[in-house]
Amino acid sequence: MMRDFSFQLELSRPDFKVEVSSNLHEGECLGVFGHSGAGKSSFLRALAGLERKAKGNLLKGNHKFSLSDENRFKQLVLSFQDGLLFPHLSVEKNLAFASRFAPDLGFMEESEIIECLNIQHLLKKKVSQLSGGERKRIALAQSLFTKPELLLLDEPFAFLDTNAKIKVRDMLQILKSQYKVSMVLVSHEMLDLCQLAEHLLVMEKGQVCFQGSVDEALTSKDSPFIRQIGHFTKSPFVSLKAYVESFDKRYGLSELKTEHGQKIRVSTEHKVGDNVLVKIDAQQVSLAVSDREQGSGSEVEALQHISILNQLDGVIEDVLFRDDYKVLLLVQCGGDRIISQVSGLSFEKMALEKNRRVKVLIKAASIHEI
Amino acid sequence: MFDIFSTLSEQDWDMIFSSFGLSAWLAFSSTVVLILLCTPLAWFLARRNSWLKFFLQAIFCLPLVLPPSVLGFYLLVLFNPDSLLGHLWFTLTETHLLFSFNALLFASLVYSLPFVLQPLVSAFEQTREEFLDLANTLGANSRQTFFGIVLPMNYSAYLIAFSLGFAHTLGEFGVVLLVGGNIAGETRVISIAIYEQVELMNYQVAHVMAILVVVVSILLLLPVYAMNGNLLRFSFDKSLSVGEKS
Repeated sequence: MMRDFSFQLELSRPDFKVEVSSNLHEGECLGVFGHSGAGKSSFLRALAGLERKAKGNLLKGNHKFSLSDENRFKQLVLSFQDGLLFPHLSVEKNLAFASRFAPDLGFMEESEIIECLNIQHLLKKKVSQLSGGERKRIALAQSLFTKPELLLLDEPFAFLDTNAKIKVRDMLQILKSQYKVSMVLVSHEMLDLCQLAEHLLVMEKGQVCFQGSVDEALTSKDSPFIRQIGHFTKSPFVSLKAYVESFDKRYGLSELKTEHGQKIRVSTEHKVGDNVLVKIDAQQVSLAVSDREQGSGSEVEALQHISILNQLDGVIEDVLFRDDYKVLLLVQCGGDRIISQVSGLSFEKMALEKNRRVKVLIKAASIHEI
Repeated sequence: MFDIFSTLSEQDWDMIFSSFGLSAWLAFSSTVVLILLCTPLAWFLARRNSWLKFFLQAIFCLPLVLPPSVLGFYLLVLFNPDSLLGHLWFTLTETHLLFSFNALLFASLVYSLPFVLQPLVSAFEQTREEFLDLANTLGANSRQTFFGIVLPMNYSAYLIAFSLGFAHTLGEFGVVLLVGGNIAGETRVISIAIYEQVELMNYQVAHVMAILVVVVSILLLLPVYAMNGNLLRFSFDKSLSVGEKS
């Protein structure tokens, strides 16, 4: 495709070296995850052509651009982490400065950007009168006013409250799907990346320590989220796309249907018909096996005298991680993959192993929308 | 005190206005040229941190510390018709450089340089790299960044540079005396005229001219201290990073 990107770059710093190479399809989002100081921002700055010492290049289709000289790719923009704006210009003039450099191409209308980000009432203000979240939204609008083909976002959700965060996220989704804008999204919050990114780079000490799909990052044995359990996220988790089928007002329970047809009840209110992304923590997932059928291949009977509302039939697909204290098991539930963290004791006592049929028990209150 | 004004003859007033007008024109033209020259120079100095920068800054700031007589002496030597510059000037213009308005103009460029250069260097040094990066990533080239962002961001420094350069040129005496002499309408600037009137013991005329210089200088320095950047800098700093106000 003409608008597919690939890049490889190297940036030497006195204390460490940043080396990254990857590719990115048109309208897709590459998530970059890592702790602070991992080199994420340096990588983004280098990709944006702001690091003179960076070596490497960016390919768009068959066109090769260098990263630091005049021949660099111009249709990209970096939206800075701290919502940087020109302090001597009003909000309106900050935006106008950016649109001076926009090419004459079809893109989301300026008025639509202003509306999506809900910044109409801020246009006449001075930069010094803005709050952190307002500044962040205006800085993003400023970046978008340049009509970029490649949008580099450094922690776009930092300083935003929940409402603003949802607005920004929805707009980024529209930019991806309707306007085919490719994105590189840097975040230290894995949940944000689950929402928007198709692919993920995990960085540590300037190097890429994992590269793959978001699903692989969450559920594969090689992923640092599994290998270094507790290092990147508190606990491993999976995210499932689901559709809201119904809402039971009396008990405040929503019934969701996952992509693969599993029904899950959650104790939060959702609008029927909405698509949601939910997070299931490995620590919140328990497993049950049946005594009678132990070792055999038939389904585990449903547990009757238990308060847990979600009981899914599953098969242990893999043992992802094991030490004396805890075991991470990947369980396949009719196409959906869920991770369960059990104690070493339960693992041995229940004789859990690959291909073993299990009941997957998840409390309705422990499932949250991302 | 006010009776000193009434004792002056029309001739005195003509002399006062002509020498003050000459001073003002000299100050204006040399400051404009200096602003044009110092802008790229200050940018170059501010974005570097090398021995070359410190060496150049020391050289450019020499007029701040050298006695005007020393500076004037060297300029006298430089503008002399027998010197390379003086000779070249004569070949090109068929006029002598020394004791002409142009000699004053060149001399002013030298002795007022630090007064224009220094405020610009400090302003450019304080212009954070992030703003240049932001303009760059939004698609501005270096010229657009400079004229669209850096200049408007530092307009107060330009006002300060202009005021200081102008006021200092207006007040210079020693150098002007050495390279310009005292030719009415050509090189007799206000400071020279005051000196001459004192020598002739025309104290009233000297007094009027001195008052004029004091008043104009105060008017020029007022914006420097009003605009010294404190108010502006303060609001800039508050807007530099996100998250402190939310």
